[in-house]
Amino acid sequence: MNDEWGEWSYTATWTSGVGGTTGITHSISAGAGNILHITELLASAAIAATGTLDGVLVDEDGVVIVRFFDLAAAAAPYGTIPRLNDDVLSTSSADEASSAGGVVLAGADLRVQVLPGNLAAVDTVTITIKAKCLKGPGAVTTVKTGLYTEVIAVNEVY
Amino acid sequence: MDLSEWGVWSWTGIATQANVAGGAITIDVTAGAGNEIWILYAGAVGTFAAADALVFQLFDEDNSTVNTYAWPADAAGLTISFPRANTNIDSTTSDDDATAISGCRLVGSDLKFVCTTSALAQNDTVAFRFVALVRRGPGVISEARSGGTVTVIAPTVNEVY
Repeated sequence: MNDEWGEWSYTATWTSGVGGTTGITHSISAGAGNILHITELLASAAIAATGTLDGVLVDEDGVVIVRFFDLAAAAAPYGTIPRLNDDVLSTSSADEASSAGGVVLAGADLRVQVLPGNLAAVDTVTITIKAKCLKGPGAVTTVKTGLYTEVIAVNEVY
Repeated sequence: MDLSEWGVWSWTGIATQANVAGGAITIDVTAGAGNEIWILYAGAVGTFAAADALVFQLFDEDNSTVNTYAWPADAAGLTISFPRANTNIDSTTSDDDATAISGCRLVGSDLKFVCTTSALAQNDTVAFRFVALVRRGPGVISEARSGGTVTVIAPTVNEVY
């Protein structure tokens, strides 16, 4: 690697509020004027029932380019980047792709999205990111259905 | 991966086969003269009236196949992605399929990352989108090698960072 890049370490947990939060879309972008290289990411959820967990790369129109993980419903799903994803064969009709080299993001609108499903009250979603950043940390935004609280445990740039 | 000298190019567009008699849609991505690009991720969705093919390949300057990255069986609706680990291609397989987990680097005007189809029906579409590193500027998109009538794509995303 090179000396022009910093390192961003980020961990946050979202907890569904009273009445439950059926879904929280977490979007990770580089932010305006920035480039971000996500080298490692962990997304995990603790769901009272069971729920899915997806990790996708979406373009500036909000459309999926490729899907990095696509987990079946579970009470404690874990999704990671990088993944080799060798279950996607050359002959598969599928949008899943390998993230073996990490994920490069630029600007405010090219995003990695983490999409948990079927959350109830007190269910949690935690995202941990380790990334190289060119000008500063990335940006994390949420779009939710229902209420939630957020605790950022780590947000360091080196 | 040393990104210090690279920008990032994001592109999304939809090609439509307009010819009554149909024809293939072929979308070529090249770096362009004096440029270098490195395709990191790509996805395509084909929406076809009949069962047809949708393929990602690397073509050389003579328009011959270097490698095939994704080629599912013909169907009316297909989704393909890049990169794939493609472990169904083992050392004893006679095949031009290849893995692409390091992405695809292109240089100059004639080495092509290709999103192509079999001969489609009128009004069939291919939605194509990708993210690439770029050395000096964006690459070049061409539909010129398509069959039938495929007009120049008006991209909905064409950003260089």
